[in-house]
Amino acid sequence: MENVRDIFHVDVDAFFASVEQVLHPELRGKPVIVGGNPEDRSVVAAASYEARRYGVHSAMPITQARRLCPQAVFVRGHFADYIEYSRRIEEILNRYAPRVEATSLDDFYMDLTGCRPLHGAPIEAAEKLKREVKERTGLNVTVGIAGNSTVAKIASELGKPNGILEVWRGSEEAFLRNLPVERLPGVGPSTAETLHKYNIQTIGDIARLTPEMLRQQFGVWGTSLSEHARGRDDSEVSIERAAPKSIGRETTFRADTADRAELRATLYDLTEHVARSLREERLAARRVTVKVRYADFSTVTSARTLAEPTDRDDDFFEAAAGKLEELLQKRRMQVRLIGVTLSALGPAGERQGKLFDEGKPQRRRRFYEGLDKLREKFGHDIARVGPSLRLPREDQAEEPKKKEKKDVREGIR
Amino acid sequence: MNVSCSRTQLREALRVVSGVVDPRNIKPILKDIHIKALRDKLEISATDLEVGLKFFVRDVQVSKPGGIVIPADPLGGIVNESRDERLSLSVANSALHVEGKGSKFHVVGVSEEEFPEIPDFPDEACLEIEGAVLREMIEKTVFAVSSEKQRYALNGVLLVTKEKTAKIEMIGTDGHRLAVIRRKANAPAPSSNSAIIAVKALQQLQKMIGDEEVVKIAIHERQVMMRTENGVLVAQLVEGRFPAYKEVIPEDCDKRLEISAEELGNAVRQAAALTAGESAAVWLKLSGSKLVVESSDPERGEARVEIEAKYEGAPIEIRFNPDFLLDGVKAMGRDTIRFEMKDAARAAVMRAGADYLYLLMPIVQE
Repeated sequence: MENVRDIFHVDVDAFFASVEQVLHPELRGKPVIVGGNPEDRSVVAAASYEARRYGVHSAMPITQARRLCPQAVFVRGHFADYIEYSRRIEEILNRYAPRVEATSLDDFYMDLTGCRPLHGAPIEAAEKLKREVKERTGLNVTVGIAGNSTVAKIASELGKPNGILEVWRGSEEAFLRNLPVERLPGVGPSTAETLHKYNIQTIGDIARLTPEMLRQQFGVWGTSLSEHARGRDDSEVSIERAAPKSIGRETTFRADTADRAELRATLYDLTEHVARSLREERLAARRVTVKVRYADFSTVTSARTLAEPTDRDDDFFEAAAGKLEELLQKRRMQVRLIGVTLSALGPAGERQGKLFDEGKPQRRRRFYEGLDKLREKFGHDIARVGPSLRLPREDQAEEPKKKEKKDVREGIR
Repeated sequence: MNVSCSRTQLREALRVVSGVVDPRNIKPILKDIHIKALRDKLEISATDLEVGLKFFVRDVQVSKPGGIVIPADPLGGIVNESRDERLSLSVANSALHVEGKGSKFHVVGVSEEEFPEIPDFPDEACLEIEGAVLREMIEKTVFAVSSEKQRYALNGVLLVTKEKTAKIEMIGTDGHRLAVIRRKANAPAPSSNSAIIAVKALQQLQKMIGDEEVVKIAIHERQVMMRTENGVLVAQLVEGRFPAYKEVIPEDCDKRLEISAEELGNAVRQAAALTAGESAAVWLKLSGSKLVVESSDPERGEARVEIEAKYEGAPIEIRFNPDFLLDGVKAMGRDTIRFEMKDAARAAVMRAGADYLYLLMPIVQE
């Protein structure tokens, strides 16, 4: 008998918009649209279900979304928060399955094969993890369950929002038969157009074609298309990613600046983010690299190796600020971008013992851990420390009219 | 200025003095050296304002005293490459003229007026110590000093003298390990003092100390002055408070290892070959009469070296930075090392007799 697998696809409902609603309770129940400035030409990154009722969806021009749903609250994306929430969900999922693969910030594949004695039937496991994600993050997820990744993904799409959909093993082909071809992962507009040309409308229509025909039309991919359409997919949920070699973050200023205080504040903010990611990975770093891009786009980096690995913000900032100062001394030009990267990573919690001041570093470490917990719950902006106190808070959700403040920082990991 | 001098002595003086010159100093004059002909000797000096040094060339005939300030580099090159026994030095038109047999060099310089004076000190109220003893004390402490700039007070070696006793102590630490050496001066110290002397000054002093000579040391409030037969070194004392090192020296170690320094050194070096650079650590596992040194690096492999050893106490497994261990083994300078431990999270002590100890913290789990 063939191995029966339990593959879950977990998808967070209206992820960015839901995170905004969790962090800003006043947005709950309101149409929320995450994207660029409503006055400009950007597109919708995410829309809450309340907004979707008005026909707003991802990738729609903001201006159009505004016409469809003028009462919506438009929010500029806060990537740092989304990354944090994504990590928290991943952390929960990791407790359920030995294999979790995050394919984006808001969707995850899990292989729970062989976990039934632990979590019960797949549907029970799904209920349990849905509940836990809700309790710990406030977010709803939809879980698709099937014998393989392709079918699980389609199941989660159909189960949205806030649902669980399990496809019985053996009934995959029947489940897919009447779905439009566009539901099949990998079938984009151009593939769909080609298929429609041959009057192929449903996944079942694809399944009826021979693999050879599909291969002739679509090359190697045609073979897997044929398999997937029959509800078959033997791809594995890939094992969790390797430990990172470095953790970095950089930011481009809205306007070039030479203001030391602003540069330091931003550097501190970046340092806090990377140090926190480092702690989440249970790693310590020994090397700090600062990157500066000047107004003329020339870019320099400078690194310092610390005497010992650490995972504390203050240690990293001290090194980073020293390096930044050195770089700024060398060249008097406005700065366009700064970044900070931690490398020479090793396991945290292990360190060279100290002869003299045991108490103090421990206390500081506990302080940062406490801060991490606080921010995990309320978002990064809930607290400001040290030099970053002078930074403006990231944009709050506001009515479109009032929204004028500049988000000077866009952290991209 | 007009002088004829021994080339080898001049070369030696330049070698010693050039160590003080900081080629990256922003003050141009501090990249230079000062050459001054006195009645019976040539004095060559340099300073970086933290450490100042003058060194004498005694095999000279001075026909006209005087002096000049010139960049250190070209003169060093000329004197090193020359094969002459004697060189004549003279100053004319703001340049130093160096003449050997069939060779002539003009090194452009500046007037000596602006060069900082390096003070000398009177002979009274000095500590006197054998050069070889002082050298050993420096060697066995300076390696443990911190190179991290943030912790000022750890950037030097603490020199402790006690009034009316000849016993002196030197202590070096980087906060993770600590070396303490006690030796005797030639006579009781004139006063009780604790002074932190920068590593650079001590390294400079090492270069100045000849084989059989007495070094005189005078500790002042802000600076320390040290004189050898041929030179004077003045160094600003390192400011800051030296940590309370006595408090961290454990008295209650109940696990004792006696082991051949060579064998321990070899075992640690072998195991260390397989540690990752950034998180280097070796295990010492002791029980019965054997020591097992282990290391592992998930990406490179594992090492295990077992050696016979005399061990007293309950079994223990303790992790160290291999470099810290090897530094200690080297500094002990003996065939057999005594290594004492309490537990895996507390400082361990290596001892060579009652007058030298090296304390090192293990790698601990948080």
